[in-house]
Amino acid sequence: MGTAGFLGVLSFHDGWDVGKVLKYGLLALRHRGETHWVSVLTNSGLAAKKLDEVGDIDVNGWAGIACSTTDDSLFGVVKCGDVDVAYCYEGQGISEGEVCDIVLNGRAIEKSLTLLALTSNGRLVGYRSVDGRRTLALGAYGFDLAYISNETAAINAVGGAVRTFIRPGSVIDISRYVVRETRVVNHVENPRLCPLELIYLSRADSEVNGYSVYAFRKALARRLATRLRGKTARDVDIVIGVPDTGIIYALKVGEALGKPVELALMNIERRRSALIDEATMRQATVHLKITPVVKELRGKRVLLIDDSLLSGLTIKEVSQVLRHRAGVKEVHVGIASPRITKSCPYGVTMPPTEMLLTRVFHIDEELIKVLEVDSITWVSIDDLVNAARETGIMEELCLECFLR
Amino acid sequence: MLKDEVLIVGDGAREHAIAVKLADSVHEPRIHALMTHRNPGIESIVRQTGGRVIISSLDAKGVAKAINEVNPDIVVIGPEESQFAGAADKAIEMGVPTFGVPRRLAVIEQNKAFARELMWKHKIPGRLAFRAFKDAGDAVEYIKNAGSVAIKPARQAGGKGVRVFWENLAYLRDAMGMAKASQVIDAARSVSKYSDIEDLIIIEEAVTGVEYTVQVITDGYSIIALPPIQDHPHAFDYDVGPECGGMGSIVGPGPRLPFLLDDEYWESVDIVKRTIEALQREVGGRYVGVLSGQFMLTTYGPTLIEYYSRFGDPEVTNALALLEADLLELIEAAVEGRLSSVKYSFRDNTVAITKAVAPVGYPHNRDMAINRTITINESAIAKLGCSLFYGSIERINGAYRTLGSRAVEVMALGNTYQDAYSTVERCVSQVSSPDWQLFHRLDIGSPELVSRRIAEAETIRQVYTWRRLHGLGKVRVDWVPGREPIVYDYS
Repeated sequence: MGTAGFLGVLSFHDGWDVGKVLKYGLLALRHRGETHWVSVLTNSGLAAKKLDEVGDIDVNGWAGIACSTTDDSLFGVVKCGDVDVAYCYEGQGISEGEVCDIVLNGRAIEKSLTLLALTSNGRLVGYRSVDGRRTLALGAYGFDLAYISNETAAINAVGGAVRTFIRPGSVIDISRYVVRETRVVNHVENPRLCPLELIYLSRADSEVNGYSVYAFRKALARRLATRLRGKTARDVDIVIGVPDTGIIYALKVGEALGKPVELALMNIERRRSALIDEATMRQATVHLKITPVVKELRGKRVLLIDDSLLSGLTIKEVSQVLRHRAGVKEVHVGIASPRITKSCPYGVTMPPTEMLLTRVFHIDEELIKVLEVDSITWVSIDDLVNAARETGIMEELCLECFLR
Repeated sequence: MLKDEVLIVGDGAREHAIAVKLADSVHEPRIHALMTHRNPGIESIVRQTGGRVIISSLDAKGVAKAINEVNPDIVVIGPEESQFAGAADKAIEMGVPTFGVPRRLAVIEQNKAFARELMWKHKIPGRLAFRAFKDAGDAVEYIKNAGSVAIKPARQAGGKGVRVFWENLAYLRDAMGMAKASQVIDAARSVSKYSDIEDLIIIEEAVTGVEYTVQVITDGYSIIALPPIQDHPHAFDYDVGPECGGMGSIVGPGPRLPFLLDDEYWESVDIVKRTIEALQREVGGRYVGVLSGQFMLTTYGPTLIEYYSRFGDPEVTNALALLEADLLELIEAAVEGRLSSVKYSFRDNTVAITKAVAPVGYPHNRDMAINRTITINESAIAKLGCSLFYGSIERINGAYRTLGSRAVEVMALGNTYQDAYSTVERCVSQVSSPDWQLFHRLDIGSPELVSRRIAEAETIRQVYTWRRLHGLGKVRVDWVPGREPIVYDYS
């Protein structure tokens, strides 16, 4: 189980090298994982390979899928009877038999996931589980290509336009002969959208079920600013965000508080620290994305904004860098999510529950000592729900990871 | 004089729709039909009105045969290929008043380069930059640096359609190179079968926007503009998949579309009207029949994509559903050159949704789609209040068999899209196949799709109104750094 970004393409006319298309789609999916994999369909069958670099897809065919994942278990090729099925998914772990069940028999399984598959007999299949935690979009390029992705920015990156969002509990089945969206579950379940998709997993230029991720983050940032207004906000000189996702929140918080926002933490390399398991790798990743602009920071009282706090490693590293290398006077922290107190049971990659900082340290007074920061402020669950409403999101939110 | 012996040429859903409307006439005409296969719908109208079916080719020879057999007072020609093959020329030569244009006027549809040149020469608005090619190699060379292009066969060539390639993302050029070339080769091959045209391919600047069709009935002097109809050229749901003959069409409420402004509609009507005038001036003769403009609301405003020298299929079904007039009287007036005196109106507050049902395999693998069994619960469809038009289908030994293209079209009327949509879907579910898969587009006419179109049109409208306000309505300036700017004059 885990987090993954995927993009599938099928051409209705000859002459397309989908490898050349997919490689640009992968560039827009890298934030969902460090392992890159591609499978394409040629007239002689499915070819699949793991990629060292995003840019070097050198296999070609008339249909294909590509994904960036946190985990090698999230993709593969399985034989389902006479048909080979290449697949990639995000969410709760499933067996190869379950992949066959979804793709060949159109059968829903009792797990939370989105799945993309390509069959050796020329079908591009997408599946969105009935809980609706994750999104799945269908796109097109002219009369030539169909796209499926769980990240609309990836469809846009390859020239496509998003046509619709696949309904929860449905399969979208695309071949050269027909495109069909079929509901594969009979029971109705209120979809519970994953708020982490909105808070930090998706790209800000993506839409989740048609709702702007950017607009949601703005609405949430304003609520964080409200929480910070008063004591914390009075006591800070500048606002900075943790790259990359924290930047939007910092901008909007600063705007709301009337405090200058400085781009005082620079990226050397873009990587997603939240999705990396191993501690030293994570530390290295954190260090690569937070080189400080020292002259802007020295002696200042800083409000540091990030999208979320899991193990707290990132915030702790950043606060150390800010204090020890840049010489800031105070570090106040604002987090654009409620306290995450439980590891996601639905397959969002995060440390196990016992490694979540808020789980070990229940009250903020203890927690700020661990992080060595001056204060910490969170948005509440109500803030989150209200920001969703303000963005027009009709679905309920899944709040599982915020509950004890 | 009352012309009550009518010969309809054609065997598709379009001709079935025309026959239905003609049979509605208070003059109770006798309807005869020239067909290549027995269209069950047309055949039943012929039988009801006491007419005759003539099975022959839909060209000059077939028309001559049919005229000799049934001695009609008037001939109505449905399909473009019949026009290209001189069916109207023959009927006129034999002295029968004819609705549907002769070859030299049908060139407006047959020859896409001619149509574009005509628009440029006569400065008719709504035109696009284009180039025609007689050699596929030259075209392949040209598109390498031509940016975003639409590549089409230069002649109406059966199902072979357009493909559009946007190059607004420079990094995708490499991926598109082969696809573009393959379309040039395909299009060239599809046209090279015909000996009646010189050019093989035309390449136009690519545009994007919301499409609609404006069908105009004319006697060569004045016009009756039918309501704007939206066709759906993508074969599959959600506007995905290859271009095809059209999987369904919508109009309403009333004689308008929810995403098209009145000004935009009338601007489009004017374009068609000016084209009729220019065409008559250019090739001579009187245009008696239908000229349909397939339009797109683009960043230039209403822009002509393609002309049809006849009713659109399935657009004809929606237009005739809203038309409150005696079609026979109207056609008679057209052939007699007194169309301006005809009284007509359009139904208000009515939405009409038509959906085509096709066998899987359509449009590109007709071998798969042909000779499949279809079951149609006609009485249930009638009970639900839908109209049923038979297309590429025939009855053999009491069972319907597919002929490879869109098998039937089902139309429902309602007060709202919601209404008409739920009715038409219920009716479509009465069409099935025991031995094959059929498909239709679920999304056509759905309130969701209509809202999406409104939003798309609004985006485009913002761009073209801005361009017009800033003096760019008729000018496009291209500048490549280091070179002289090129000004395209669309005035």
